[in-house]
Amino acid sequence: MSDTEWACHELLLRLAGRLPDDILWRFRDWAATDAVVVLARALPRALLHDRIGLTDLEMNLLADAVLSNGADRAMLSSVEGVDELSESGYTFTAESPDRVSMGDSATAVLGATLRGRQGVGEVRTSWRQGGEDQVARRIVLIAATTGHARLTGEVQRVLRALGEHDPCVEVVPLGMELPSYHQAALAASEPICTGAEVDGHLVPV
Amino acid sequence: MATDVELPVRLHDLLLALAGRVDDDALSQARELLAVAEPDRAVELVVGCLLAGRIAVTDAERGQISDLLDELNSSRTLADLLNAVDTLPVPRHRFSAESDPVGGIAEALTKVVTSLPDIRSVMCVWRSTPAGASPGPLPQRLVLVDIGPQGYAPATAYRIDRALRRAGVSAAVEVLRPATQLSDYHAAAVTTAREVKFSSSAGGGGHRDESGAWFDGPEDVRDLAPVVEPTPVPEIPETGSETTRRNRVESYEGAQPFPPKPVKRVVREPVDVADEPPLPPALTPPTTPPAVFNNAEVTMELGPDDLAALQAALADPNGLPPGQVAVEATPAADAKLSDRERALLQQLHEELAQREDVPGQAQDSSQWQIDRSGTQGSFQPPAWMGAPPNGDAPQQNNGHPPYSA
Repeated sequence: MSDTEWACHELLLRLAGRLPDDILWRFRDWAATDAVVVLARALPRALLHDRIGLTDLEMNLLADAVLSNGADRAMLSSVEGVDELSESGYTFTAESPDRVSMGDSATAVLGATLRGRQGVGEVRTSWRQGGEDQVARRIVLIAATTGHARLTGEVQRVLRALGEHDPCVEVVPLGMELPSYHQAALAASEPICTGAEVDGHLVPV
Repeated sequence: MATDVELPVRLHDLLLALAGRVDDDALSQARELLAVAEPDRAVELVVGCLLAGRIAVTDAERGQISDLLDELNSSRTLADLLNAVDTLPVPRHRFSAESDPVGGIAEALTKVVTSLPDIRSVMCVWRSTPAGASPGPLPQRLVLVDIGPQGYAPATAYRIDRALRRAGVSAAVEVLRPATQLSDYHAAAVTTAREVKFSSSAGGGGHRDESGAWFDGPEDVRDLAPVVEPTPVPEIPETGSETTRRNRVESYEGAQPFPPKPVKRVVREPVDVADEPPLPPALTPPTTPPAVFNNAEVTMELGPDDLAALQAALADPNGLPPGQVAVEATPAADAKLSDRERALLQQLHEELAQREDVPGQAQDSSQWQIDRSGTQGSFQPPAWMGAPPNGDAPQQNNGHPPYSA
């Protein structure tokens, strides 16, 4: 993964819960494809449209991610800087509070797909409530050592085919200090499976 | 490119042309952006999806996208990255009108259909095949809206999509403008779709223009057909629960109440040609009898009304001998057809007649049958139904009913 791809993935990871889900999953889908040149124009525009501010770290990631792909420097300059992120307003639970127990095919499919897979560590899931959502959203947390953007796109497509229009898939590099959003999601999560990277734990053991 | 058509309408038409190739959520999102006066974001969304999915476009479509990007102060060079091809891959979408595709639609759209101008009809159908590189769950309900010249296509698409979301109905909305040629995708969908019947106070839109209709038809035949008026439904306030794209209830696998059974394959026993009833003259191959395939595709795409119309056409009460079935449809069948559908069928007949004049064209025909009761006999398709050259690939009819009007 190049520095540009890495910066793009990390920035989109940090924007979880801040960019609307329907836009975020689409940008993550584009990040590992030829559409990254469109992403370089669309991402700053989306940040400006929704008045989303970035920390200094995120601002650097944005510049690394999009400038080499043709982003407008003037547009980047308009993105507001923030000292620290405000509270997200989300709460996370291990089980869906608004879904009757009819079995969970998504968990079964993810387990079948990712169990024992190279480059994948622990896979966990939790449910998010709050924000502008009226319903709970499944959050899938995956620890991975390589191919983060590609894995994100793949798992997103699987979840979409299973009925989640705006999948929330967080593929976390091992060793990364997690943003508060992901820490909260992780704290409420339950395990699905473990890939081939048996030491790739999301939760310290 | 100089054109008299306004940019939003051109972009709407481009989105229509991409239906079935780009995922439904992307098209819905692009239409929303277009309707709320953000066409630049709409075009870039479309380009991003085309690039991410390596979705093929024609040279003409790439030119249109390039022009749109330029007019919207985006980068025209993005269009150069698109995968342009001379001939688009043949779409293989299947549609079905079984399992009540119109269920709940009238209730959800009564108010918005009344308030929007010049809505001619609303039809629904299930699509059982995925669309785009990141498809959503199947089956996908399509809501097809005919508007007249006084209607606003982008606004209609957005408002109807929004009303459906508020009612918790997951559907892809396609608004068909007058005087535009239907794509194969939409033609197949329209031919299979069922019309939504609104109460008399709501049907047809609030500002219908009586001066024009599809294909210059003087009056929609469906208006003259006997119609059982449904029980008036209570209006759903548009300002009710705020279910939008960003907080909609996800539909998980099996969430569609009764997934349709659009197509099934059966192994068909070889048929003795001598036992087959003779064909209508217009459908009989000129020289060589068609090859018989063991793997025939049996569609379930005809609704009960369609089947009744087909049976009525085949069993002509005027006593025509077998093989002399009149080509004209029964009044009941004709009354069900819109001007657009009749024009499509007319085009198909003309193409059939042209192909019959060319020797050997009909040799690619294959065996079809309607699998309703197992007693309906078989149907010989004309050449325009597109048998594969080698004759061993599975057949599909793209939703076209195997009968003529």
